[in-house]
Amino acid sequence: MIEFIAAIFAISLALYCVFGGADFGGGILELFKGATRRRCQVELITKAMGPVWEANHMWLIIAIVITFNGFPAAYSAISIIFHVPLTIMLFGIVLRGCAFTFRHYDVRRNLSQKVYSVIFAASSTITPFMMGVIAGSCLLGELHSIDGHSYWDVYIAPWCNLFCFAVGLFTCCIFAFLAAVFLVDEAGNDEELAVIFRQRALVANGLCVLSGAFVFLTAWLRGFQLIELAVSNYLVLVAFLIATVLLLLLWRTLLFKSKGGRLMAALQVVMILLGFLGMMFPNFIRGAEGAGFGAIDLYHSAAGPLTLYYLAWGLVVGLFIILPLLGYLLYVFKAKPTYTETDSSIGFRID
Amino acid sequence: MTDLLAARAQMGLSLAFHIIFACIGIAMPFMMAIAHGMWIKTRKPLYRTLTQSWSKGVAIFFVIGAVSGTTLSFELGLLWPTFMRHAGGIIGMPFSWEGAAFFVEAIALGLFLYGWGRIPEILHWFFGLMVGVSGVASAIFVVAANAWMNSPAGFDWVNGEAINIDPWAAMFNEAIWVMGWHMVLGAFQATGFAVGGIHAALLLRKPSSALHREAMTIALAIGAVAAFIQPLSGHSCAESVAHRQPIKLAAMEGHFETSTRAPLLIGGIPDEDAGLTRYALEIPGMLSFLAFGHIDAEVTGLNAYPKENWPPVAITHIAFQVMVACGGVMALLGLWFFVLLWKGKEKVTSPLFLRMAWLCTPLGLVAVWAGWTVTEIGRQPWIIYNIMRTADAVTPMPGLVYPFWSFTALYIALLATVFWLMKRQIQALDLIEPTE
Repeated sequence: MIEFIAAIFAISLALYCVFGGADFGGGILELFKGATRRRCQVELITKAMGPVWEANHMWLIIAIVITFNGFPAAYSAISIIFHVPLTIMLFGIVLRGCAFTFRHYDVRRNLSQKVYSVIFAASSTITPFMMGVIAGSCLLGELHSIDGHSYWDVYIAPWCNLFCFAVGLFTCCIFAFLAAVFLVDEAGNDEELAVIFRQRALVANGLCVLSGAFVFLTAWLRGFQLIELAVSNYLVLVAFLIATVLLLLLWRTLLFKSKGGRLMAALQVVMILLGFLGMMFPNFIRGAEGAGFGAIDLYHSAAGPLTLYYLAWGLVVGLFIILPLLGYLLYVFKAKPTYTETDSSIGFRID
Repeated sequence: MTDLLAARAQMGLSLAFHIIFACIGIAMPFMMAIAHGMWIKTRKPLYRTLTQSWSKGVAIFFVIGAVSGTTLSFELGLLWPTFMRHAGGIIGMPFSWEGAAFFVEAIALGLFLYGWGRIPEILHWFFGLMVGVSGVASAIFVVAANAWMNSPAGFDWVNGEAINIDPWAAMFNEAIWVMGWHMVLGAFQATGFAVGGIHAALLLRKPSSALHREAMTIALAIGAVAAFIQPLSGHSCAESVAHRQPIKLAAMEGHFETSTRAPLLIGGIPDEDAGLTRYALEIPGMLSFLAFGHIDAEVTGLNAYPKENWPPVAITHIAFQVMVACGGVMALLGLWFFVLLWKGKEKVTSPLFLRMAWLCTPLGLVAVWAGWTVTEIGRQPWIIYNIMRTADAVTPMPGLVYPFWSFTALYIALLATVFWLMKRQIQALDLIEPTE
C-alpha cells in the first residue's frame, strides 16, 4: 500500500515536472528573447500555456496532499525545516500565476504589460530554482536539530549552499530546455519561430550538461559522495544512462528537425527525476535521524492503514475522473500546433 | 507581536483573502451558465457580451483564488506543523477530495475560457457549469475539514496521540453538512449581492443598459434566493453548535449565566471581566427556544466553564451580530427585488432601489467574514475542539512576524491590482456594449 501510494506520488511529481516544468520553462525563456520576433515568442508562449497551465500545476497539489494525508509526520518535518525556501517558492507561485493571468486579461495594453512580464519571468525562474534548492537539500541531508543550534544552522544552512544552488540552477535549465523543445512543435508551420526555439533548445541542452556537471563539482567540493550514491543503485544508474542517451538523441533530432522531440525531452526529464527519487528512496529527507527529527521516510512517517487505504482508493477514483478530462483538454488545445496556417495570417508577424 | 499571534494573524489573513476569490469561484460559474444559456437560447448579443465580460473577471478572480488556496495548503504546514502531524492522517481525505475537485475545476475552466468556437457549443456550456459544480464540491470538502476541527470524530485521543483512526467517520462528522451548506449559500449571497450591486451602480450611470439590467437581475435573483434560505441554514448551525460546542454558543450569544428561559441578546458588548453583556436588547426565553426548541431549556453560560477555555467573547459575539444583521438586510433587499420584478422587469431599474442595491454590495462578503470569525475565534483556544490547543500546534520556527508582514504586503498589492483591473474592465465594457 505504501509503495503503491509512493508510486502515484512519483508519477504526480513526474507529470508536474513535465507539464508544470514546461510552463516554468516558458517563463524562463521569456528572459532570453534575443533580438528577433520578440513579441511573437511571448505570444506563442502565452497561447501555449493559456488553457492548460492551471491544470498542469495541480499535480503539485496532488503531491502535497498525498504527503500530508499519507505521510503526515514527513509533511510536518519538511514544513518546519524548509519554512524559508518554501515561503519564497510560495511567493513565486502566487506572483507567477497572477502576473500571467493579469497580462492576458487586462483590457488595456500599455506599460502594465511590461510590469506583468517582468514579474512573470522573474517568478518563473525563482520558483523552480527554489524547488531545485529544496530537492538538493533533501538529497544532501545536512540537518541540524532545533535544540542547541542557531536559527541559521536549523533553518538556513541545510539549503543555503553552493550545492543546493547548483541543483536549483540545473532545475531551471532542464525546464527551460523542455519548454524550448515543446515550443518548437507549438510553432507549427511558422518556420522562423521554430528555428528560434530550436536554437534555444540546443543552447539549453548544453547548459543542462554544464549545470549538471556543476552539480557534481559542488558536491565533490563539500565532500558529498554524490557519484557513489548515484552508481550504488541500479535503478538510478539505468535512469541516468537513459537520460544521457536521450540527450544525444535529442541533439540529433533538433539538428535534423526530426519528429518526437517532445516525447524524448519529457522522457529525459522523467529519467532525471526517477534517478533523483531512486537516490532518495525511501527518504523524504536524508540524514534526518541524526538531527533529532526522526527518520523522515515513507515507512516511518506513514499514516495508519485505514488512512492509506482510503488515500489509495481516493487517488484511483480521482485519477479515473481526472485523466480522461485532462486528456480531452490537452487534445483540444495540443493536438494541433498553437500556430496554424490561419493564425499566422492574423498579423502575428508584426514585431 | 508574539510568534503565536503572528501565526494566527497570518492564517486568518490568508483565509480572509482566499475566501473572497473562493466565493466568486463557487457562484459566478452558475451565473455565467445562465447568461451563456440565454445566449444559446435567444442569440441576443448582450448575453454573449455579458458571458464573455464576466469570464474575464472570473479568470482574474479564479487565478488569485487558486494561488491563495495553494498558499493555504502550504501554510497549514508552515504555521501549524504539529497540528498537521496529528491531523493529516485523520482529516487528509477531504483535502485530497478537494484537490481532485479543484483539478476538475481547473480543467473545466481552461475548456470554458478558451473553448469558444473550438468545442461543440453544448459541451462548452456544460464545462462552464462543471466549473461551478466542482467549485461547490470543493467548498463542501474543505469545510468538512474545518467541521472536523470543531466536531472531532473518527479517532481516539490517547496520551497525546490519535489511535483507531477512521478517516470516513472523521470526514463525515456531525457538522459537515450544516456547515458545508451554510458556506455554499454564503458564497452565493456574497457573490450575488456583490455582482448585483456593481451592475446596479453601472445601471444608475447608464439607465438604458439592458446588459446591466440583465446582469443585475441574474446576480440579485441568485443572491436573494440564497438570502432567504440562509436563515434556515444558520438556525441548523446554531442548533448544532448548541449541542456540540455549548461554550461557542454562549460566546456567540454573549450568554454568561447558565439559565432556563435564556434571553436572546440583540447587539450588546460583552464584558468578560464583569461577566455580562451591556447595551443589548433582550428577548426573554428566545435563546432557549431557538437553541433547543422550548423556552424552558437550559442554556449553559460561559461562567460554567474555566476561563482558560473561553474564546474571545466580545469578538465572537459582535461578529455574530454583524453576520445576522447583514443577512437580514440582504433578505429584505432580496424581497424588495422580487416584488419589483413581479411588478415588471423594468421596475428593478428604480433609482432608489439601485442606490440601495449598490450600498449592499459588500454585505454578503462582510457576512462571510463575520461568520468565519464566529466559528474560528469561537473555537479558540482549541485548534481541535477539546483535544489540541492552538498554542500547542504552532511551528517552533521563530520570527513569524516577518512572513506575516510579507504576506500582508502581498495581499494588499494583489487586492489593489484587482480593484484597478476591474475598474479598467468596467470602463472598457462601457465602450463595447451592444444596444440590445
